[in-house]
Parts: sequence; C-alpha cells; structure tokens
Amino acid sequence: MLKNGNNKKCIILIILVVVGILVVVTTIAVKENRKLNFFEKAIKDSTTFLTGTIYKPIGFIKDKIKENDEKNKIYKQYKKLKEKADKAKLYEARIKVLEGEIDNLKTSLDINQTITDYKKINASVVNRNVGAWYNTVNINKGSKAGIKEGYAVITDKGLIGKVVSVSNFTSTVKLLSTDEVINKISVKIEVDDKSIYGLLSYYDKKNNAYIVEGISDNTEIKNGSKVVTTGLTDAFPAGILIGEVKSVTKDRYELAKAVEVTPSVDFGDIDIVTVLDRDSK
Amino acid sequence: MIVAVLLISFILEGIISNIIPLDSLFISMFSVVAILVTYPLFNDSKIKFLIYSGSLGLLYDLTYTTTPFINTFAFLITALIITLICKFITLNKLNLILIVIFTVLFHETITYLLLCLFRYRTFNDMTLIMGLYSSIISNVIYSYTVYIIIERICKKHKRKYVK
Repeated sequence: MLKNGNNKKCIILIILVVVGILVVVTTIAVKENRKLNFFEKAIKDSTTFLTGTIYKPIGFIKDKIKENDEKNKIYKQYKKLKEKADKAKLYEARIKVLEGEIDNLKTSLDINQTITDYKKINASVVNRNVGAWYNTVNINKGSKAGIKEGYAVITDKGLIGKVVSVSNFTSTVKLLSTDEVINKISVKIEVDDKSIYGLLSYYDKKNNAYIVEGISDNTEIKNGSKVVTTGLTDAFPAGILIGEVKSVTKDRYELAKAVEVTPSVDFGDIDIVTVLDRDSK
Repeated sequence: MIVAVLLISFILEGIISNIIPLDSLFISMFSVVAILVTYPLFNDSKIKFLIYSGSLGLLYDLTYTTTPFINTFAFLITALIITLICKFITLNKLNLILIVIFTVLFHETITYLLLCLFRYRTFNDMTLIMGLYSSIISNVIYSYTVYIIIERICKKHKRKYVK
C-alpha cells in the first residue's frame, strides 16, 4: 500500500502527464478545417438529433408567431404587387431575351461559376454560437446530404459563411460575422455600370459592418452600392450578395480606400440556410 | 439527480441558443452554471466532481464546437475554481449571484484565452469585454431557478443541499 503522501504525488504526476498529452493533442487537433473522426461524428450526430427533436415543438410555436407577422406583411405587399402584376408579361419576355444573352456570353467567355449553376442543399439551423466565442452555427445536414468542408452557405438575403466541419448528419458553419482576419473574400462593388474590386478583410462587430480593403480604383463609391462576391476564387461563387456600402474611408495604412459594408443578412436571426454544392456545378 | 441537471442544462443551452439572437445580452452558459449549482450534491467527493465536469466539457466540445479538449480544460479549471471558492464562501441564495457571476466570467475568459492560445481566434480585448458583459443576466436567472428547484427536491427527500 502506498502512503498518503506518495499517493497524492502519484495522482498529481498522473494529472500532469494527462494534461501534457491533452495539450499536445489539442495543438494538433484544433484546426478549423480538419476532418472529424468516427467518434466525434457519432457523438455530434446523436446529440444534435436529440437537441433538434426537443427543439421541434418550440420551433413550431416560434414559426407560428413568425408566420402570423409575415401574413400581415404579405397582405400589404400583395396589394402593391397586384398593381405590378399587369406588367409581368412584359418582364417575362425581357427575361427570356436576357437569359439567352447570358447563355451566349457564358459560352463565349467560358464562364460557369454563377450562383445558378450550383446545386443547392437546404438545411435548418440546430444551434447557434454555443460557447459564445466560436461564431459558428450547426445545421442539420451533413456529408450524407452531399455537404463538404469549404462549401459556401447563404440565406435568402445573402452570404453568411462557409462550412468548416462535417459529420454524417450535421455540419458546422463559420459565420462571416467574426472579427478575425481569416475570411478574406474577393468582392466587387457595383457602382453604376462599373465594378470595383476589393477584398473583404474582416467584420467590425462594433459598427456591424464588413471592411473591404485593397481598393485602388479612384471611382467615387456611392453609399448604398451593392457588394457581391466575384467568384475569382473557388470558395465562393460569383454574384452572391454581401451587403451595401455604408461609408468610404481610408485603410489602416492611409494608402487605399476602405469601405464599410452593412451586411445584407441579420446574423442574429438565421433559421434556414442553403449550402451551395461546389462540386456539382 | 446530478446527471439529470447537467444533461438538461447542456441540452437547454443548445436549444436556447436557437431562440435568443446571436448578438443579444443573454448568452447562455447553462452547462457551467449547472456544474456550479450541483457542486453541493457531490458531498465533498472532489474527484467525482472533477470527472463529471471534465466529461461534460468533453461532451460540449464534441457536440457544439470543433475544438476538442478546449472546453474539457476550461470546465476542469472552472470546476477547480468552484471547489476553491466553496471552501471560503457558502453556496447559499445570497452568495449564489456573486459566485455565478465570478464563475461565468472566469470560464468565459479561460475559454477565450485558450482559443487564442491555440490560434483558433485572434485576441481582441473589446470582443472579450463585450462577450463577458453579455453573459451575466441569463446565467444568473438560470442559476437561481435551478438552485431553488434542487433545494426543494432536496428538502422533499430530506437531503442536505447548502455547501
């Protein structure tokens, strides 16, 4: 039998060794785009399924309240739309002509990266930013639905982020509303007929705005101009709305323009999302 | 009862996150609150308390995050701090609010620093302060509610609850 003092030393030694191993494992394991192992996938899937099932009745009530508000709004909109409906035939004809022109241009320029070319996977949000610091949401579709790491995630209002980890039936989406400088996205600002290219560098939480830097173009950028993805990288397809220009200032080095962009998405209220399947284009 | 409180709080944290807006003043840390409120039920079995806290942290990591062991560490350190605090301060209705605020702030800070240490995040003092500021109200309310429920159950079963 070990004496009391020896016993305590032994326990402290074991704890130190375990902590040491955990530190090494964590340093290797804490990578955003790493693949989850079988054990992690199984636990994530089962607990997400459980929380999702418990949330269903609460979600139902929440949806009903939302639905009621929407109904009132829709009725008002319906009245306005009725007036516009008469002009629909004119627009239909114009769309057909424009679609034909787009197809011709795509063929001649060899472009196949617009948002319409991507297969869309719809999913519901199961939980949002648990743990406060992660800026992630978990959705109820995973690799079985065809989702892979790096896929862009949008809502009906615009881009919200990209998939960072996938299990069989769930995925984790890193939101763009993070203040880290890791979300460099190539964007263009549409000013009249001209496109001004820049780089979405980070999200300023204090002002609720994205900061677009690296703009050397001297064209005047008007407030309210639309900011969309360029599709120059494989990560995000072209033409996804990011937001509208809020103000134009100088960047941190006072060399080029820095543009504050109000996000088109309300990050506080994301329920349904669409994952864009990059591989199916 | 301990397992039930821990698991219910753990699941509730995920569900509540879906209802409360992301940038609100009501960030829920119910799992951390649960390990604090259940501490008196462990009857001085510190090792058991640490094992339960570490396991909950690991489950938290696997379910809600993509960072294995960060929350396991954070939950273990928080559990150690709780045992230290409860050595000097009695966990009763009056002290509960103060202890919850300290524990939640401590846990949030530790998690944030660990995430920065492992380069998952970049350190930003304003983000940290805003995060801490937003995580007090809902957790104090939750801890008080759970405390009263556990106290009543213990009274019914003639068990000692106050530490």
